[in-house]
Amino acid sequence: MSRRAAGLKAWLLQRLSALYLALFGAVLAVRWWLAPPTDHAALRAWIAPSWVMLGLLLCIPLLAAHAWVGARDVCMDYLRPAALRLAALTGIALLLTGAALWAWRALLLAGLRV
Amino acid sequence: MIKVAGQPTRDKVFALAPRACQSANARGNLPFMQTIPHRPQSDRPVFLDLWRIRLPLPALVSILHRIAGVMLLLALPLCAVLLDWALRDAQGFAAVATLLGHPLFQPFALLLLWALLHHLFAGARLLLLDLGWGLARGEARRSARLTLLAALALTPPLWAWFWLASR
Repeated sequence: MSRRAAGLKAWLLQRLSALYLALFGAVLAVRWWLAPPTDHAALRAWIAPSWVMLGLLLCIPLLAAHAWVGARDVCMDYLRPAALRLAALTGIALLLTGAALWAWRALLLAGLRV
Repeated sequence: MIKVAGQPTRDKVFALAPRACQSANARGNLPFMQTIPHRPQSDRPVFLDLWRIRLPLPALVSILHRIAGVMLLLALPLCAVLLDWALRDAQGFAAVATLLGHPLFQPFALLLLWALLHHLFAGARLLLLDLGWGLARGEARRSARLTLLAALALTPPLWAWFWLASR
């Protein structure tokens, strides 16, 4: 992953994912602001439209990639020696993978049970 | 009048300026590092009293962008778990609502909301800078000030709105 997410490609991935996350996040925020779901059924109905569900499912890997590129830059800039940097990067990779899989599973299960 | 710290010796300076700092310096996060002489022969005065070095506003916004990003990264597992609970069943939703509405959680809510807003605004500013907009020093300082103040100013009202809307 770190080998592929480097240089210009990583820079571009970071910018494009940022654009998507900011725009889709703004749409969701406005939608939430107009009618905040106040119970479980309302929340399920809120994420039920396919554009919301698909948008969220796309959000998760893009957010993980965006966070990974940023975290990698931060670790390379500030963490020394190399063993500490490797440990931090490993921890962050596990954390991001775990969180992304967890969120994906939660969304898919909620989508299947509608 | 504060007494100016003595000049560190050259060895100390190079110990204080590992390559990690220099790469951050290239991005403008540590602009004071520019005072480090690159030629060992140089006898220019060096001043590295970190508590007395004032970051220019764009550098402050930049380093806060990174700090906010790390804060948001650390919050992601919690967000994933809360999303799972809230979507699972009514009891889970109630548990998430209780946690998010708990008074002890509010300092974290404010901090994370600020981090999100600052990261968003500072990131938008960076995208505009990438497009070549606002590169002049005066404009860069003004947009940095706007970014900093907008995130700070919008955090309390947005938090208050969430608080009221979730009651």
